[in-house]
Amino acid sequence: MDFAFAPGASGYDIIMRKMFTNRASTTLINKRGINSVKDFFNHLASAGVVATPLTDILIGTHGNESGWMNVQLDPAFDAHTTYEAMESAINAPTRTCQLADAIINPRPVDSNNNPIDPHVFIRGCRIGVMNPFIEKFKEVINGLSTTDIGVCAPLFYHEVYNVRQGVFESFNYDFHIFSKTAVADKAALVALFDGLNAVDTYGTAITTAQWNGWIKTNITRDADPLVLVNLAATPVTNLLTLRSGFYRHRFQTIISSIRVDPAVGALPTDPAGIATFLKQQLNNLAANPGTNPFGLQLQSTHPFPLFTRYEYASIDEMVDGLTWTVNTQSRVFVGKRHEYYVCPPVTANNANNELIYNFYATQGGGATSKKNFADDAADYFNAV
Amino acid sequence: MADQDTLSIIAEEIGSAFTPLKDMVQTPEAFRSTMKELGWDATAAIQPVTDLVNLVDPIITLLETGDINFGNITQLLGLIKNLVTGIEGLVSKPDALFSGLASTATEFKNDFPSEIGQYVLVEYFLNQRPKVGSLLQLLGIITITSKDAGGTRPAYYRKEIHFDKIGTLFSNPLKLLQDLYGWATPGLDRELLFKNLTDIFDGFSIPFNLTEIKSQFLQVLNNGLPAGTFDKDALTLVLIDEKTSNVGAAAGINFYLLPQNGSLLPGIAIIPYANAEITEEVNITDNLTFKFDTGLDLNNGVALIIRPGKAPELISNLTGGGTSGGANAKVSLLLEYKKADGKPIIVFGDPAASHYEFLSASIAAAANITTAGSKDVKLEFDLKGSKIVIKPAPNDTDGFLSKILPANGITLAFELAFGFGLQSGFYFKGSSGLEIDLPAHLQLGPIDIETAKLGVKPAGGNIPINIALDIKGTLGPIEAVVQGMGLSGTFSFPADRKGNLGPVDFTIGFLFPTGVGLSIDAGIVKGGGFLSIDRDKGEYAGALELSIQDTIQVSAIAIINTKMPDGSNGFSLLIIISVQFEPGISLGMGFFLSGLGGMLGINRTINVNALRDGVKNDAIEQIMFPEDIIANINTLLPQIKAIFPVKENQFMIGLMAKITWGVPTLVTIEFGIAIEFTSPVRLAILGVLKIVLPTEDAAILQLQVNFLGIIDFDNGYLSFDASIYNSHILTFTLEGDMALRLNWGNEKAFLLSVGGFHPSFTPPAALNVPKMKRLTLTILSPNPNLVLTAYFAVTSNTVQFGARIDFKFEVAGFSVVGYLGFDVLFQFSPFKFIANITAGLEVKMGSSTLFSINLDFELSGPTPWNANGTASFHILFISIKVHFNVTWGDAQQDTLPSIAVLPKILEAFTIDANWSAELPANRYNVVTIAGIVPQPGQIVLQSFGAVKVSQLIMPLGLVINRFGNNAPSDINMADVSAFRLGGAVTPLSNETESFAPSAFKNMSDDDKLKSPSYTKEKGGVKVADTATLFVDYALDRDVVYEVKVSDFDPFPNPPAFDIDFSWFKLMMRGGAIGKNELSVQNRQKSFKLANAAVNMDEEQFVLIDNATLTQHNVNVFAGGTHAQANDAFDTILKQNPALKGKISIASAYQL
Repeated sequence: MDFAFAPGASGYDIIMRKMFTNRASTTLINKRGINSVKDFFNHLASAGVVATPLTDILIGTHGNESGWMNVQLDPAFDAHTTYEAMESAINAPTRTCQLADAIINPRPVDSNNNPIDPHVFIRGCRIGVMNPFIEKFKEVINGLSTTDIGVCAPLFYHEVYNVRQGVFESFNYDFHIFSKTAVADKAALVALFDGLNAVDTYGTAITTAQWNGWIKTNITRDADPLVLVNLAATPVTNLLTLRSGFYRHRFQTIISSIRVDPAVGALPTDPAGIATFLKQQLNNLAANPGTNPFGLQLQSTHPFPLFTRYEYASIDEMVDGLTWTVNTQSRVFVGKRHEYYVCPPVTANNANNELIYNFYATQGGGATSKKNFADDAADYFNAV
Repeated sequence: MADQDTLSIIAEEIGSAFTPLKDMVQTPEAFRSTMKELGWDATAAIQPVTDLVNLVDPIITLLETGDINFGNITQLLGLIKNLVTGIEGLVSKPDALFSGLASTATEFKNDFPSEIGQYVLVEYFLNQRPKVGSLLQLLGIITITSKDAGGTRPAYYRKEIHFDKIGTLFSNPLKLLQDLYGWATPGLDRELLFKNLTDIFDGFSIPFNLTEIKSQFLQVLNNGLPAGTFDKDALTLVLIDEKTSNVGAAAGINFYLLPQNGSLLPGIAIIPYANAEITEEVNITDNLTFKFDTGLDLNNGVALIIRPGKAPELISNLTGGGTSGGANAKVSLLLEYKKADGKPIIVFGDPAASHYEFLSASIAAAANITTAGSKDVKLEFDLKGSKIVIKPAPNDTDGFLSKILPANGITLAFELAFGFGLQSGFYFKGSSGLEIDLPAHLQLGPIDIETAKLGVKPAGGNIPINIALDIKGTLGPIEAVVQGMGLSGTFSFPADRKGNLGPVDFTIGFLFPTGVGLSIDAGIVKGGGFLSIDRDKGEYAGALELSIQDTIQVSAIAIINTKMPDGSNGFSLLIIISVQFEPGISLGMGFFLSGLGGMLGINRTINVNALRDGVKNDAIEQIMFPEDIIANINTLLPQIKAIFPVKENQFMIGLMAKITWGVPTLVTIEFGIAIEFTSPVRLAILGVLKIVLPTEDAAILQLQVNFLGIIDFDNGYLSFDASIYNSHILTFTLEGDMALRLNWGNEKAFLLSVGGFHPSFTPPAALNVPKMKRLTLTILSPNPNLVLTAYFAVTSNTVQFGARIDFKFEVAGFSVVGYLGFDVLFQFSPFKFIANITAGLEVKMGSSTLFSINLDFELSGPTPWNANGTASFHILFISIKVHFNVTWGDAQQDTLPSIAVLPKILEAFTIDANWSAELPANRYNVVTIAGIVPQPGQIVLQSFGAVKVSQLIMPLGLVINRFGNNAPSDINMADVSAFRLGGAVTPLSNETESFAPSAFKNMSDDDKLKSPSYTKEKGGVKVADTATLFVDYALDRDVVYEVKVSDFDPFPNPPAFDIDFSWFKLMMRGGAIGKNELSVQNRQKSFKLANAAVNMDEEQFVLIDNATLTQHNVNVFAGGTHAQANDAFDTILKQNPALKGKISIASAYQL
């Protein structure tokens, strides 16, 4: 029996709960007062909850590649599951969020009577992209059990599509451009994406024609859904296509506030002056962070530095990659960037425009479940 | 915020909206899939539906390739209309074309056209405009509901857009919440509410998460509930994320759903947070600022609690167990968006041409919950510096706009703020409702558009949006003003979703002006007129004022109502006309007739209380001979409507005159006589007396007395009120009020007062005496200040008078305050008075008293004289206080002259006028027998009638101590023990009359002040209605029949049509039966409860035990009038003296 947990409040979370409910041999834990990973694990450890051997654990939550899962790990540390929250869980006087032996063992066996390795399968957008993050998660949950518990998380955007007959699960690519200034128009943006020399999951290069098809004339406007895809061997009668993928533009705040002490004196207001100033300030802070969490995250020696989370190689690159504004009254700098995402669905390696999907049929809905990829399929998940 | 052309934006939106339709018909598979989503199983393409692509394609092509402008917008609209017509036309396609469906063609044709329209709109809003779409979903205007498989249709999610709920959103937003989320029910749907909220946050790219809140918070919020029965997490809106701040600044708002707790229904707690690093203003981005303002400590937890049916509550210090409310329980949070460089934000349009812009936009949430009573929670949107600019583009020199507009175009600047409050509902800021004035001040040639009023008034599921203009125009000597003229666009939502805009029906109409004014200044003739039109209320008011050669001035005001106050159709008219002459018509002896006027009211009455107010505030002068009507119309019309309100079947007619004396005029009297009828019949005399000496410009004496007399014949009362207004002698201002009341109806009473009453005296409520101003003479003002006040009053029990002088002088922080006053209660026979005298003098430095001397005592007399009081003296830190109670003079034994009462009362029973024949209650004399004239000593009694005898000499069955100013010498009680009619003793009932208690009982002065002027006591008897009457002789009357032969068919054929009963009832009112007295009384009983909703019985008095404050021995005295209670009190004490001090008289209401 698998045990699943998807405690969020958004539409995605609600569909995830439905998906887990429909999933074969799966018990969804959806109880009042069980809100965090810690609550979930503690509940599993309660007497009588895991009556039959637990095979795997599934967690459904929003996430992203910057080392962030929306679900709360332990309310004592952070509102989300972050690298720092996981460090706190490990370093706390009393470690938390570990899976106990009593939950994991005894192991169920396969048809050959071999024990099945336990996993925590995470469903959420691109959580598997940042290896340090899922490695740290594995470190958190392992410890009390004598059995190694693996962690698998998606490499792609995780998309769910809800119909009355069940839930489709599929993936979207993540092609993106981060720019400190707004891209002028569609042509310029297509050129930038072309410059990525992106390939699909089968190694085939994305063509200019494809970029042109996905990117609309108004590049500041989202397009969701993006394209029409076919459902090969559809599990739902007469449902032969889905609309999937998305295009998105955000002028995203990356650094919400860097407040500078008045003792520093007058603040620069021109872009070049701000960049020079902030590089100096942030590098100084990284060099002498004391106990300042922000300063510690800026250190290049940090296992998962802040700038890495936003795909920069260094503090200087991050400063140069953002548009900075300063409020000289409150002495606060804010760093933002333009983010352009083109996220078409992951389709089969053929010319039929066929969506790669799993389908979790609702009981009595007239359809049957269909599993086209495994929970640890290497093409779509990072497993540690 | 792109600087796009408006039409391009509209075109792009339309193109986006049709994308799902285009996608749908892209491939046969896509078609079948979309049909599946819509709940239709299609095995093949349905030709009539796929053919719609032929109507969609031209739209998409035009939008993608064409430049939308005024030239081709008509073409675009035409194409859209074709598409809508095409979808609607599916219903007329042959059934055979729908063979690819599992469902029948009829079912499909009936349902699909409306479903596809809604599907397209929902897809558009949720996917293309998620900000708007998520908001509509939160409000329940967009819904996605799960439909089970049924009939030939598969299970599906139905996407609907309920435009008809938009009206409810404004009129009753909480109902929407109740329907959608189960608000105000035990089953509040947390999952749906949070899901829709997160969709909004997502739409606006605001981070959110579910966060477990502190255990101390949970303890306070779930007071007493066991763990596991409530959620631990809240939906958190993250405004500032501490993770990406070098100082760990964090701010946001938690939304926590409160579970049911006992009788408290589930609710919501809104918990703002901001850590110590957050100052009161934080720049979230360069354009976005977060501000908060509170006297509470957010670090320790502050929660705004909103539960259905309960006033909002603000709890602070959640970590410390929670503190509810407080004088400073206020939290406000504000997010403001504005450009850092201060430049306006162009919402749409071209900055150099027509566009809409604003300087800043903000959303503010504020809870102001104080012990002083404020309980409001508001969410407010504010667009500051809004401007609508209409002007041609720089290169557009031949366009329509460039020809009709001034070179710089037209700029309409306004502040737009609207919000929603738990107490106030939806509102525009600065307006009582959804209506806002936009100052325009546009000059278009001779036309000046002064203001524009934008109003949204949802009603009956419709949403009318009105734009009304106030326009002023000048043409030579004529100036015209038109108010409230404009356009009204109404959105309605037909049930069949077949409006002229798809599911919405939009009509536009002319908004009739609410007022039209005209003024003329043509030398000889000057003046103007104004017409006010309120079509909703059915009220039309007009005013006219003309001055001809400065000699004759004509004023007229008319109000017509076509709707009654209850909303029914009807008619009411009021006209007030006056003409003034200069010079007046000589009447001799220096008097001149300087004005004449009249008033007529049809279905109008006189509101006496409003008229009395008019005496005090000088409104009556404005009504009789108004001046400068047009300028004062806004105050004059409400006053007139209040004084002469609409009342069905009531009429009024009046005459007015203005008489002056002297040249120049020294004395002016304006007076009017008005009579109103039919019920009540009242006569009103109103007037204004003015005396000015020596001239109006340099008046040494200026005296104005406004007065009003009312004689109400039906209710039997006379009242006279007067007020001194705007008067002075030299520099001394003079003011004061006078009132006279004489009731001879059911509640007999008399009262006369000049300047008010003794402080201990409260005039009986039935006399309706307004609060009266003392006669006041202000000799010095403001510093030094010397004021004299005085009053004099006579009631049926007392004579009262008093005076007071107050003095105050301030200089250099020092002040001297002095006063001297007295109040006297007077009794003539035997002569006696009680005077309360008070005097004092204080010297103060700031608020500290340096020296004071006060005297407060009561003097009564004459003989013995008694002075009882207190004298006090204070200087710096020394205070001396002396009490004294001194009596001097010989005690005087007052003996009232005696009088024999019995002969008087016996005589009273022989007076014919005290005998009467009556009809019993609920019986009506339907036959009048003519020709019987009773002789002296006789009364004519109907065979089913009743006999009554009653007198006013003395109350019966009551012990009397006095008889007026005499002592009874023979009896102290009289009563009627039996009544013989025709020799037989007949059962009796008591008849009450009004008697002044002080005329029959010895009363203390205090009791005289407290007791009513008259009380209802037994004055006679009546033969009981049910009694069988025996009389000495009877009159027989022969019944003579008048025979009339009618050639009408007594049994006519039934009418060719049935008259609806409601019509019959309406017509019946005007017929003979409807006008019959019985019918009139029946109607009054049935429909006029509002006029007599509460009947007050005569106040009852009982005896109570002082120790327990419960009624004393109900068997001895069950209750009665004050006088009867007095009797019982005396009797009980005589029988049992030990009860003295242990029982007393109290009002039965106090039990």
